[in-house]
Amino acid sequence: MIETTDLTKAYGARRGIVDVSCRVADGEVFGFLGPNGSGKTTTIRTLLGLLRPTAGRATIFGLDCWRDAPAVHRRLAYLGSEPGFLGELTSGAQLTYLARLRRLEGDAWRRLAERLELDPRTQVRRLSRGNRQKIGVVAAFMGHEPLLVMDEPTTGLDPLMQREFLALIAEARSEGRTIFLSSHNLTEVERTCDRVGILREGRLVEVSTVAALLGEHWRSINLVLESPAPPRTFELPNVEVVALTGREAHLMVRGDINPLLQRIAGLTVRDIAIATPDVEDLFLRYYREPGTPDTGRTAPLAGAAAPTGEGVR
Amino acid sequence: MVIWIACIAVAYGATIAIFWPIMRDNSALLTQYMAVFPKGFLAAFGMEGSLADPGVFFATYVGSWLWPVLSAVAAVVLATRPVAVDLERGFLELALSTPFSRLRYLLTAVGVQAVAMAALAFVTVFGFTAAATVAGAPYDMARMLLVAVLAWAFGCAIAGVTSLLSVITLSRGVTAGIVTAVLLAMYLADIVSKMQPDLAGLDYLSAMHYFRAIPIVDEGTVPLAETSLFAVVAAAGWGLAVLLFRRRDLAA
Repeated sequence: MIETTDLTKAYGARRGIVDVSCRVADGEVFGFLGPNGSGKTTTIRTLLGLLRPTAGRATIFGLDCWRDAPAVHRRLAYLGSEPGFLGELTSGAQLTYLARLRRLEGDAWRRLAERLELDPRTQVRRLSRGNRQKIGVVAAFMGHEPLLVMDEPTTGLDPLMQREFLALIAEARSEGRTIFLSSHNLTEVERTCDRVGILREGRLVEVSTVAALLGEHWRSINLVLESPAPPRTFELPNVEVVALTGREAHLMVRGDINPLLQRIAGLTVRDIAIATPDVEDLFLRYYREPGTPDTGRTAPLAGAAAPTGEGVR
Repeated sequence: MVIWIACIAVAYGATIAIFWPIMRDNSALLTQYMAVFPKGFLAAFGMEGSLADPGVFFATYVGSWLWPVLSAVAAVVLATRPVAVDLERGFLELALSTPFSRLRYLLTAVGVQAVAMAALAFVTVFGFTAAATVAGAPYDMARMLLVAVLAWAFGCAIAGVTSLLSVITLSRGVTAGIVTAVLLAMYLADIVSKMQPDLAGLDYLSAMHYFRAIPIVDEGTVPLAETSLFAVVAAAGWGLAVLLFRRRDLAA
């Protein structure tokens, strides 16, 4: 359904996205994961035909995203992270307007607005950020387009609404609709997506099923020691140090766990927890600063993604 | 906003218009007073004769400054809204992620600009004319209709160029700044050209040169060339704006 081939977008000298190639199948929920500045929004805007690719190609339903944008848009619904609405309209009038632009019935939004407890009589400019985002959620789900494209869709939603949003995603998925969503909310991706693409500094560094990313090959180990571990304690070929702060260590182990256990046996351990890693662990691993040895600290996410400040949204 | 501009135009125009009898009764005194100003300076602001003259009266109080300023404000409000403003507030990407094409989107906006500018021009001209007529000024409605058409074309020319600037800069602030600077430069060119005979050629660079109401009101001259010129500028501005809008990146 969605296919990008070496998709590249540069803003003059600034990096946008570089050689992004991926394919999203019909009925799939695909997550685009990355911190701010990694190129998620650029990718989505290119898919929507708002940005013209510098190189490469993006197609949806086999149609070119730039050249055939209106035809592509007939079959998709979009939700941005901070959608801007016409502040002078009521939320109901705004949704009716959007419904008409999408060639839907004018009141297509009503049932969903009731479900999300959105007051259609309030002027948009008087709504909180969360309620404005609710308008976006209602707008995205009010039709039955086969593709939903969402850019950080839960931004501003309270936890209850986030749960409702996840339910809407599940319903859309059960109807066989395809969903392409970007996020830096790892839990959201973990709960909703079949596959995940991880963007780093504009490049797609990994595409995998969530199950494989979280799979049996990797284990997460949290250690609390009596005293800080001597240097190089955890330097093993199959061990990555996610975080090492004083007496606490967060490690990722691939494959055989025994070499690490032998090292740990020489230390006084106060607590140990071994678990299959969540997406966050994997995410941190991808975003560790380039060149940082595995013996140390965890890189800050945003800084790792755009160390020179050249990142884009 | 455009409705507010129309209200200002009518209120100001009507208020000024009812003073016409005072201008008529004190024409000699006013002419004597105005004599202290350089002729070219007065001409640049439409005062090319007695203020009791209907054409001069209209040109001085509406044609030479009220309409150019109001139409420029309206043009900035109307022409930056669909592109720069909607992009800045994040609505544009929602609207353009629907089956509504870029072409239809901007052509609709151009249509709205043309209609709104027509309404504003007619309200401004006929608001003034109606009040002046009630006050006893001898305005010919057919001639004022020609003035309104010219004013509409003038406003459309500004709107067309403003639309193009809005698509180029994607910023209401920058667009408004450029439009204001160009309008002031045109005023300046108009004034300088009238005060310095050796710089008379500058006059042709100013839109004010082509927006002269006096010959229409006083002599019934049909401003075909001027209206056509403004229409061509408007069409070129809008046309280029549409072409560029279809091809450029749209991201805040």
